[in-house]
Amino acid sequence: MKYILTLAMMMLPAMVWAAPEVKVDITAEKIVMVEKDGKVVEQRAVANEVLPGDELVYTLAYKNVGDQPARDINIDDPIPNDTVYVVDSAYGPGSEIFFSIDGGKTFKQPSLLSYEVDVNGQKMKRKASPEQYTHIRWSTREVGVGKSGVASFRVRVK
Amino acid sequence: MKIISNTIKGMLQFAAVALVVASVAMPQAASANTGANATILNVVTVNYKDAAGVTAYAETASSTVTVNLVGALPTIATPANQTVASGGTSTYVYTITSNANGSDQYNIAAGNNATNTTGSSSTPSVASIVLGSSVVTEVTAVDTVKIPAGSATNLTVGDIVVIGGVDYKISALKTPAGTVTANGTAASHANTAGDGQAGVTTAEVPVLVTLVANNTAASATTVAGSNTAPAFTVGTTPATTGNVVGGLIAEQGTFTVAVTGTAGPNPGPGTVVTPITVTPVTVPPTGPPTITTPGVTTTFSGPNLAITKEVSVDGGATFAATGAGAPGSTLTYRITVTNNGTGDATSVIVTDPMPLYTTYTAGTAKSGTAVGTTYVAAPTVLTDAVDVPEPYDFTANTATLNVGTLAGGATTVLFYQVTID
Repeated sequence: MKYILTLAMMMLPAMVWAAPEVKVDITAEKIVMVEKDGKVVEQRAVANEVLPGDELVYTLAYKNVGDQPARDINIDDPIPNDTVYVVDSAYGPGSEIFFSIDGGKTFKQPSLLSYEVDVNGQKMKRKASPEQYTHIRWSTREVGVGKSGVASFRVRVK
Repeated sequence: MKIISNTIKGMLQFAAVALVVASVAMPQAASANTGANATILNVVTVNYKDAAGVTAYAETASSTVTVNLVGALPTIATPANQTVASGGTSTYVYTITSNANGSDQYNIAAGNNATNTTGSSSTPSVASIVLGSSVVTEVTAVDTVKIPAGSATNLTVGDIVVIGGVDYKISALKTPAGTVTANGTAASHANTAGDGQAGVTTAEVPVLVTLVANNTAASATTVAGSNTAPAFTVGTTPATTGNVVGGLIAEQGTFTVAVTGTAGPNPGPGTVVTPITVTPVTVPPTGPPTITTPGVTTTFSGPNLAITKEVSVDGGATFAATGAGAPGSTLTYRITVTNNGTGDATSVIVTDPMPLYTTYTAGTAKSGTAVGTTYVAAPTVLTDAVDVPEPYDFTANTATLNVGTLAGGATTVLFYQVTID
């Protein structure tokens, strides 16, 4: 309804300046395993409540409902409390995906994420493991007027 | 080959993930590592600029998911077996410790498998017990652990909780700011009305549980605490020794079971085996829905008397089951009553009518308390007259010894002499 309203407003000639307006929506679904034709297959169900050990799929849908293209779009999502990022689950067609291990201060590609540890007085570089990821960022250069996109990732409830 | 679109790459990754999921998630994870009623708040932010790359905007959206309780069978510590007098009551103190990730109710029932016991009963002190529980997310001080907001239900000051296998006592439940709290406040997010602006996220106010040594003394209704002062490793990493992050902070409750019964109808002790069956109200996702302890054994001591009668033809020096004597000679009888049971035998009366062809020799009755005593060595001389309180009478050609109470393991010996007619 809100989208429709916004669209309607866009069409009003009274609109004085053009601006991009990127809306983002988030949905959480849990993965349930069901048996179908003798095979165990994965299905998604709306997740209002989960059990520890469940996997959650967060889907981030975004759309530029403005009347001007949006630039340098960064969708930032922290890994929620009490959950762990599932390896290789970040998905985002058309986006570059970066991760942070420092609470969202810096974002890098997984291969470049490292941290220093003190081993017998020597500083050693260690590659960050997915459990250490604190934030995910999907970067897109431009989202045109009326264009939409999707990003998703999975976490496991601790 | 280098030109692989992000879309396809993403889909490939997605497919690979699906396989991993199938293998990992199939056996439902039994160990719950998040406290029940914790809120998983996910706030996504999109930052972007206008076409000119000048004006920056932001927009947020959020999703809230609640972590549910996973039912689990509790741990029940079975007390040691007890022995009581027949007709008495044994009281057993049980501890029951939650293994769930949140508060649950546990229904308690006691079995009663009686052997040679009449009128037995096994009665738990409570029909059910409610135990709080949560999962430690961080150790904030050597004696303080953090649990998610909403997960402290039924964890209160004074409760005994088990963390990392050791029992402690809760001394305080507070917010990180130091305010007393029952359950903290979950994180929340409110989107701002204006477009192009990020909403406001209110961080979770978790619950900090401060612990002290469990110095509970053993009593009829409690078990002794370990009296171990908490000394946790501060931090959030679950790997290090002494760190309890990711483990349960599980309430330990106690209840008693009273077992009564009377040994019998057969001589000797009676036994009652009392298994305890506990059923969590929240059914565990896997495994059996109840847990039953092997059961404690209550022994009701019962008396078990044995009696022997022997005869001596040599004046009471040696005794045997049989003997031979000429008319006019003296026979010395020895009657031995032993309580081979563990309980007292009460109102014990030994009655012995004189055998045929014999005549009781007045004033020859003696008694003792040791097996195998000779007539000469018998310590107590008895009189035949019916008198009080002396326990021996000889009336109506019958010797009667009123022993009264004969304790478990005790013996009484009666001697008297007759002549062969």
